[in-house]
Amino acid sequence: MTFQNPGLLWLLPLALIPIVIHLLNRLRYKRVQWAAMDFLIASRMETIKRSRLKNLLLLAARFLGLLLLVLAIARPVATGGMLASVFVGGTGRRMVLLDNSMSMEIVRAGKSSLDRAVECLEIILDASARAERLSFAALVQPGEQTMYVSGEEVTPEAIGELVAQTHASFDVRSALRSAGRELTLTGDGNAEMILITDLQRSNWHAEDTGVWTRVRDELTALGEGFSVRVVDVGSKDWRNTAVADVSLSETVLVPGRRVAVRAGLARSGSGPASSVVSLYLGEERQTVTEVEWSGDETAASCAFEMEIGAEPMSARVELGEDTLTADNRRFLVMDPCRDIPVLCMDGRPAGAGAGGASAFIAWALDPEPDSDRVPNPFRPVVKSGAEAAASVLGDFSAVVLASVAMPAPDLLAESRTYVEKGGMLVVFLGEGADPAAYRKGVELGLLPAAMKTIEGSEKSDGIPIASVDYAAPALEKFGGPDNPHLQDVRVWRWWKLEVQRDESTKVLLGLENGAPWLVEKRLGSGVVFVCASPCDGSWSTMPVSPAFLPLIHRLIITFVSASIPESFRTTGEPIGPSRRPADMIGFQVTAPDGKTSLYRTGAGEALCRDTLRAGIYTVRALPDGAGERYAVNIPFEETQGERISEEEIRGLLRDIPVTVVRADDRERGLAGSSEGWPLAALAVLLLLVAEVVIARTID
Amino acid sequence: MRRTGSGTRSRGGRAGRRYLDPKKLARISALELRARSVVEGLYSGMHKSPYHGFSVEFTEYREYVPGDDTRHIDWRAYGKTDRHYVKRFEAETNLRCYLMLDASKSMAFTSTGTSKLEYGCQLAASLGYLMLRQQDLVGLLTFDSAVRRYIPPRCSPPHLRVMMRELEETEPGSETDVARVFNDFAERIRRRGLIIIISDLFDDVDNILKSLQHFRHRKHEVIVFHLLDPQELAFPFDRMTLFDDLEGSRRLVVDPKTVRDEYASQFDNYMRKVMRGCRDQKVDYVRVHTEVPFDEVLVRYLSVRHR
Repeated sequence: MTFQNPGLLWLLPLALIPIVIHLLNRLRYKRVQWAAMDFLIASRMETIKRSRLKNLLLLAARFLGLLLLVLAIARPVATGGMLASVFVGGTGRRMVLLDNSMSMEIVRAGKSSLDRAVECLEIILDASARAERLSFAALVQPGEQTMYVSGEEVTPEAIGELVAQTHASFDVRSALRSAGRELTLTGDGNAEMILITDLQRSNWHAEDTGVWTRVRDELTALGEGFSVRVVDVGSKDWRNTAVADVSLSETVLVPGRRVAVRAGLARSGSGPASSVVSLYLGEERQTVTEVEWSGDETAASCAFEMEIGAEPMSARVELGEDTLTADNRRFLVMDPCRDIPVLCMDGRPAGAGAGGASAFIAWALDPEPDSDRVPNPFRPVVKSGAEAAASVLGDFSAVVLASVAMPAPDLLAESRTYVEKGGMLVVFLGEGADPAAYRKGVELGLLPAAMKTIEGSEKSDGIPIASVDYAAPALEKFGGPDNPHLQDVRVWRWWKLEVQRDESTKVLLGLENGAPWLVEKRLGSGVVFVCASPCDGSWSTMPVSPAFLPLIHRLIITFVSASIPESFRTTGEPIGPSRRPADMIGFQVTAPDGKTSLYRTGAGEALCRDTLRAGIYTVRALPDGAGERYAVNIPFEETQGERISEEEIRGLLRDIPVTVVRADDRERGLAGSSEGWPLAALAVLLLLVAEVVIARTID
Repeated sequence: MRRTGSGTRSRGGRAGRRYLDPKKLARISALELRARSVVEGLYSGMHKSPYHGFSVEFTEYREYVPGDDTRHIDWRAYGKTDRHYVKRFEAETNLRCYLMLDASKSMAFTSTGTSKLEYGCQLAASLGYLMLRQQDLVGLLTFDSAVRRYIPPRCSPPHLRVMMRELEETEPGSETDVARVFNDFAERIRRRGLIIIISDLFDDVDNILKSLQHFRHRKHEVIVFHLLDPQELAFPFDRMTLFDDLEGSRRLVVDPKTVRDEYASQFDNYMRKVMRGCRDQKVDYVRVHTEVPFDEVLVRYLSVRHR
C-alpha cells in the first residue's frame, strides 16, 4: 500500500477524535441530586452490557470512519494482497521494462525519476507475485545490454543489482523488441509489457518509422491478448541546462601550443539566467567563466584557452548544479603529439640547384628549425633518393617525393605497402619526372593518376586554380573568408594527368582549364597525393603563396589525426584497445570510479560494453600494451527534455492496446495496483450507515 | 429554569402560615372527608362508629352543622345565644386521623421549585386543617428510617398550630425505611383510624405493601398520597450526568439516553405494583405529581371519594 498524498497521513490522529470526545464527555457531566436511585441503578445494571457494546461499536465505527476518511484523502494505492488480486488486470505473462537512462536521474520533489520507477517496479512485482500472475519479469538496461530476471529470481536483491542509474540512452524500440522476443520464449497466452519510463522523446526514435514497423510486427505476433502499459515517471516540468558538446580547436595537440576548449551549452526553459562553466584538468579547476542566457535562447557556447602539456591530460567542462546534474559535465582526453616525422625525398637536392626541390616543403614543415619559439610537431628529414632508399618508410608519418625523376620499382612497392598500412605519400612531379617510371606506380595501384605530357608555358601568366574540393577534410578550412585563397595560386606549367576512375580517387584541386592539379587516392589505411607541379616554385606560385604552409600542414595533420584513435565515446558504446598486438591476451579497463575489469580475447573481438557511466576510461592491452584513454560522455539527445505524448505512443504502436499511466496519478493502476480511495470512501459510507443503524437499534 | 435537587425551606413567620394558603383552604373547606369504612370512635355527623356511648368529658362547643345529631344540641346555649351549639366531649371524636409524612432525604428532590417534602407538608397541613375543621382528631407523624416526630391526634385549635409548627420545622432526614416505620406504627396505635400516608414510597415495594397490609389488618383505613416529581417520571436528561444519591453515598455517571427506556420500564413496573397492591388491599392510592397544585389534587380526590 502506498499513498499519493502521504503528507496527509499526518491527519491520521484525527481518527482518535471520537475516542477523545467520548472520554471528554465522560469527564464533562452535569451533576444531579437524585432520589429514585434504585431505579436508575437497576436500569443501569440492566443496560450496561448493551450500552457498552453500543458505545464500543459506535466508537469503532467513528474511529474507523475517520481513519478511512483520512486514508481516502491520502489516496491509497493498493499494491498487494487481496486488493491487488482484485485489481490485477489480465492473466498470463507480464514483463517489466525499466528505463534507467541518464534522464531518469532528474530530481523532482526530492526523488529522482528512477526512484519513482523503482517504487513502481516494486509495486508491480509485489502485486504480481502475491496475485501469482507474474510468470516473467525483465529489466532492460540501455545500450546494448539487456538483463533479465524472471519468476523466482524476481527478488528485491536481484532488482537492486540490476537497477542502477546509468548515463546512457534508452532505446525504446530495441527494448520492446528484446522483451518481445523473451515473451515469445516464455510460452503462449496473454502477455503484458509494462514500460516504466520518463517518456523522453529521444528514447522513442519516433521518426524511425521503418524500425517501428518491425517492432509492431514482432509485438503483434505475441497474440491478441498482448498489451502494453506505459508508466510515466518523468517530470513534466523539465528545466535543464547541459554541456551538450565539448571540442578542441586542434586535432593534433602539440605540447606547448595553446588550444581552445570549446563547450556548447544547451538548455530547456527560457528567461534570463546565468550558468557558471568551469574547465577542469584532472580534478583541478583551471578556469571559470559565466554564460549569460537571455530570452528564449536555448544554446550558447564558451571557450577556454589552455596550453597543451607534455603529458597526456584529461579534462572536463562542468556546469553549476541544476535539476539534472548528470549532464552537467563532459569529458575529453588530450594526448599530446610530440613528433610527426616526415621524410622528404629530394629528387633535386640542394647541392644540385638553388635550395633543392624539397626546400619549400622542409621550410613549410619547420619554419624555424633552430628555434623553440613556436612549438612544432613536424620533423622533416630531407634525403636524396639514394639516401632515402636506405630509410624505413614505416618510421615516418608521411613521405614526400619532391621532383623525384625516376622512382625505383622497389621504392614504389615499398611505398604501396607503407601506404596500405596507414602511411601518407605526397608526390610532387617535377621537370625530369619519368612518366614510364611513375606508370609502374599506377600499375601497382599506388598512384591515382598517370602522367602524360608537360602542359603550359613558362612565359605565360599562368592559370589559376579554379576548383577546390572543400569537402575534403584537409581543404575544408580554406573555404572561410579569413583563410588564404587557393585560387590565388598561379600555375604556368603542369603535368597532364590521367586520373584513375575509381571511388578511392578524387581531384582536390583543379586548374581553370580543367586540368587536375592535386589528386588524392585512398589506399588501405593510408593516402596518396599527387601534385601535377613541383614544389620548388619553378612551375607555380604555390610554394610562395600564403596557402602553401597551411595546405601542407593540413594535408599531413588531417591524415595524422585521422590515424589517431578516436577517444570520444558516448555512454553505452563499447571500448577496447585500438591496436591489438599479436600477443595480446586480453585487456584491462579502468572505469571512472577506479574499478578495474579484465576482458579476455577469445574467438571474437572482445569489447568492454560496460560504459554506462560518463567519465574517463583507461584501456590497456595485456600483457604489456600502452594505456589508451576514452572520454565517455552522455549522448546529447539524452539531455533533451521533450516528452512524447500518449497519442504519439498510440500512433507508434497502432493496433496494440496501450495504456499510459501517470505514476503520480496511478488512476488506472500499476499492473495490479489500484486506487484505494473509492474503497475507502465506500467503507466510510458504510460505516456511517452502520453508525446510524447501531445508534437506532441497540438501546 | 427549573430547579432540581433538594428544596430549601424558610424558617420564621407564624407557624403554619406557609402551608395554610387561605385561598386553597377555602376551596377545600367546603368538602368533607368521609371515611369510607367504619372507624373506631364515636361517630358524629356522617361518620359511623362501631362504638356506643360517649365520653363524658366536655371539651368545647361547636356550631351545629346539618347532619349533627339533634340530641346533642345544647338548648341552653340556644336560649342564651339564639344559636345552635353542639356539645363536644373527648370521646366524641369522629375520626382519628394519622397523617404520616415521609421526611426522608429522597423527599427533598425537586425539579419544580417545590420539593416533595414541601409539597407533602402543604398537603398534610391542608388535610390536618380540614380534619380539625370537621372536628376530627388529627395526629402527625414524620418519619424517615424511623419515626422522627409523633404528635398524637387531638382536635383543638392549638393542636393545629402545634402540627403546623412541626411541619414547618421538618427537614429532610436520612434514608427511607417505610415498611419498618409503618409496621412499628401499626403496632402502636390501638384504635382504628384513618392513616394518611404522604410519601414517595421509594423503598422496597413488597415490604411497603406488607406494611400497608399491616394497617389494613388492624382495620385502619389507609390513604396513600404518592408524591412524584415530574423528572422522576419522565427522566428528561440528555447529556452525561452524574446522579448523586440523595439518601446515600451512591453515585452513578450515566448517559441518560442509554438507560431512559429501561428506567421508564422499571418505574412503570414499580408504579403498577404499588397501585395493584393498594387496590388489592383496599387502600386509597392517589398519585400526586408535584407540578400539579396540591389543592387541585385534594379537591379532585375528595370529590371522587365523596361520590
